[in-house]
Amino acid sequence: MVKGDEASFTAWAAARQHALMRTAFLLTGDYQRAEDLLQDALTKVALRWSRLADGQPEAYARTILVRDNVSWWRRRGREIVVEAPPEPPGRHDTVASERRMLVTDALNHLTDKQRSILVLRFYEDFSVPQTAQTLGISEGTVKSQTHAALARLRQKAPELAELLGEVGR
Amino acid sequence: MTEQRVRELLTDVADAVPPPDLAARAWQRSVRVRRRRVAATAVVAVGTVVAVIGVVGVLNDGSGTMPRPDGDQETRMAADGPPQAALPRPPDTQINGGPAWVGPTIEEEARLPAHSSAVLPASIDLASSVPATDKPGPSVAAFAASDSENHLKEVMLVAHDGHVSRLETPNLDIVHNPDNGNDTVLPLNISSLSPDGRKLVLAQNHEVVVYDLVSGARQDLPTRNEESYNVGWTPDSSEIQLPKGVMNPDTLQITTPQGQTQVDSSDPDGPTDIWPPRTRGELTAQARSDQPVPALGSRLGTDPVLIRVWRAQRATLALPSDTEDLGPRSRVVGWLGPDDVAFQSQDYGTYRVLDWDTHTGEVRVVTNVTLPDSWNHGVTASWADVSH
Repeated sequence: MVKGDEASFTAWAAARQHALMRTAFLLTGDYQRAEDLLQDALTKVALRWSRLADGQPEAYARTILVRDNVSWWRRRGREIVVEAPPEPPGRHDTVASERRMLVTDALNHLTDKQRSILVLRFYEDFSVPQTAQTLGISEGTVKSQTHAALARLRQKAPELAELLGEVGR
Repeated sequence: MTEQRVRELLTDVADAVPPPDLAARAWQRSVRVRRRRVAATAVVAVGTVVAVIGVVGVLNDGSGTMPRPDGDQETRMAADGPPQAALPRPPDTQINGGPAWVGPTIEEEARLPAHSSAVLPASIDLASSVPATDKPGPSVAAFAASDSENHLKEVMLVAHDGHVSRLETPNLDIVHNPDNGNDTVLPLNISSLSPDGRKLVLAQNHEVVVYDLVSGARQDLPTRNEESYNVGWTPDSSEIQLPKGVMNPDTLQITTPQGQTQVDSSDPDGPTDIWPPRTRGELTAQARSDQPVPALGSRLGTDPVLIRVWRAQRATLALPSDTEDLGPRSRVVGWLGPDDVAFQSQDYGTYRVLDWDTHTGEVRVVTNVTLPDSWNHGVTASWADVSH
């Protein structure tokens, strides 16, 4: 581990940590846990920095983020639907805040697996095979759980659909 | 709720997340972790030296007799650290009337004893530079690496003796996923290498490209299905299979380029994704996921891979999924003996082939694969059927 490694890692992490933090928050729905998750992922990247620096450190970090989150919810026990957490510190305006709280609350009605799949497929724009590989599940599961997650969102969060103008038209 | 709206909503939530300040802290933590590892390694090394001296001292009790290696190749050390506790062991439970064992975790695999095979090398080194060829010859495995856009970087073929060749693959397009035109997929999947190891099929858009690894011939076949990326082979290596209708995972239809259609119903518990089954006489083995095993509960995580054997005999090896670097761990490579199923186990950056004795439950390491450092985005492996 040389001084140049520290400088290049710190520069890379400083530039990419916000994007990774967004993903971590969507995966967890909890700012503090997202920060813990990201801290662990960045530490793992740092440990491998000499190998990753010339490759795809962000892809590796993202993979670790997702897999560590999977490990966390597997250790915790599955399918626990939690109360809506407070919105993360940051921007606040009434309408946008309300919409974000609705979305966050709706996401909490999903299983952890469904939530991870939606984040990877629709936020990270991962393909079905990439999502399957990252989560360690089959492509068929990705597809069926995507369908189930969207159906659950429609069922559990009708206010969201209303907000988007899908109801009553 | 359309997919586009889900995208917008997720982006809206994500945009409200304030930036963290973790870069310097992460580096400092990594330094501390490294120091702890170095310290732990030193303690283990000192402990090992002391233990060896102690054992030699006890055995060399004045009789002049020293311990000697037993020379048994099947018990050579597979990796650093001692082999796992002695096996065989009784099954952990019963599934479908047959014995079921909980298999090793990824971490435990590295400490398993080794198993020699006549058809698979003990190690595969993909890290060495090799020239490209269009005639690599019959192969036991094909490995492909992609870049972040799923452009194919290179395809490496591995012969029975471990010899590695790089396949010339000119003029291949990036493959679009018909489920979502913005997605791309790797042209090589886990079923691309024919079971006899003599042909390789790579997906393209509305066509597949077939390489004859022995003659060097290349054939471009147009396909009726636009979804060509899960292309595979029939067990006799005579026909190419193209799955369709995969939005419904309970129904896997298989179509040949000639237009014949059939439904895969070989697994009595229902069709799976295209994880190829391997048959030997009256026995079939296949890896599958998505099947919880309540009897084994939390020991497996929520998405174990099950190596299943059925027909004349039923047995299951359940591979825990709860590892730090979770990956789609396994698929069956073939039958290495009357009772021995070989399967690949994969984790981030780790590939190996393991042998499972379906009567005793014993699991051993057959092949360790070394990947190039530059293959750090995505790697896919496809194995021929090594049953003999």
